Amino acid sequence: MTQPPKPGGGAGTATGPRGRNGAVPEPHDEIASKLRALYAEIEREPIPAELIDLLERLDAAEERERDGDQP
Amino acid sequence: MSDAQPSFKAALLAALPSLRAFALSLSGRADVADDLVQETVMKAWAKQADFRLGTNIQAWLVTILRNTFYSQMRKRGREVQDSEGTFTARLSVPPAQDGVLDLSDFRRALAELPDDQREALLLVGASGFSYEEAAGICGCAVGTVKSRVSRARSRLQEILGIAGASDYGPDGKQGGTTTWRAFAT
Repeated sequence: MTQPPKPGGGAGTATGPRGRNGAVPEPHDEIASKLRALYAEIEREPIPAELIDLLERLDAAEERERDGDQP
Repeated sequence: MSDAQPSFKAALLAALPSLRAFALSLSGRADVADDLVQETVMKAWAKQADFRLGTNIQAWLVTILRNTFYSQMRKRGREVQDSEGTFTARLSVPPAQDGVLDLSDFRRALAELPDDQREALLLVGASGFSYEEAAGICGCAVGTVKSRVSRARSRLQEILGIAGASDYGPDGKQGGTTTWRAFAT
């Protein structure tokens, strides 16, 4: 479990589109881009059917109520 | 046609993907997140009279969701909380080659943060709220949000073994030095 720490990152392979100006990405940038990637991954998933269903039921119930109020 | 307002349902629907992302990232568990989002939708629906269309529905929903999350946690006695940080050493993720972090490593690291720090980081860094909005959502001072975000960041750097090249936390200088020291060996 002893991996030698590599300060500044193993810049050997200039990876990624992120290294603007060829610079090693700032750690905060790295974290920020990971956060965005994490969200993007989840947001790409379709909204679960139960959730859509729930909304439809809530909406339908409200409409029924409204119709009952004023025919 | 009545006063052609965009429907509340449509606004809710549009806000759902981002709300799910927050729920999942905050709770770290799909089942918990699903429950949270459903409960939030029900509460929001019941309280829709309180909401004015045109104002920030995302902030409103996120507020409901995080309040629900914390009250559930209190009820459940915080079963998964790891305040001692005992997991931390064990789960520490070695830096991936080329400094490119795997998303699942990142997710795991995120889960190790204290709830309040993770929440602040998500709100500001991922949901896109301003510090002021995040403070309103969390019901705390702006400075508190800033310091939570900054602590969350340096903690993540530590866990993930990202070299702290610099530290420009919102409060200026704070935090990152320990990270450097860790690498100076």
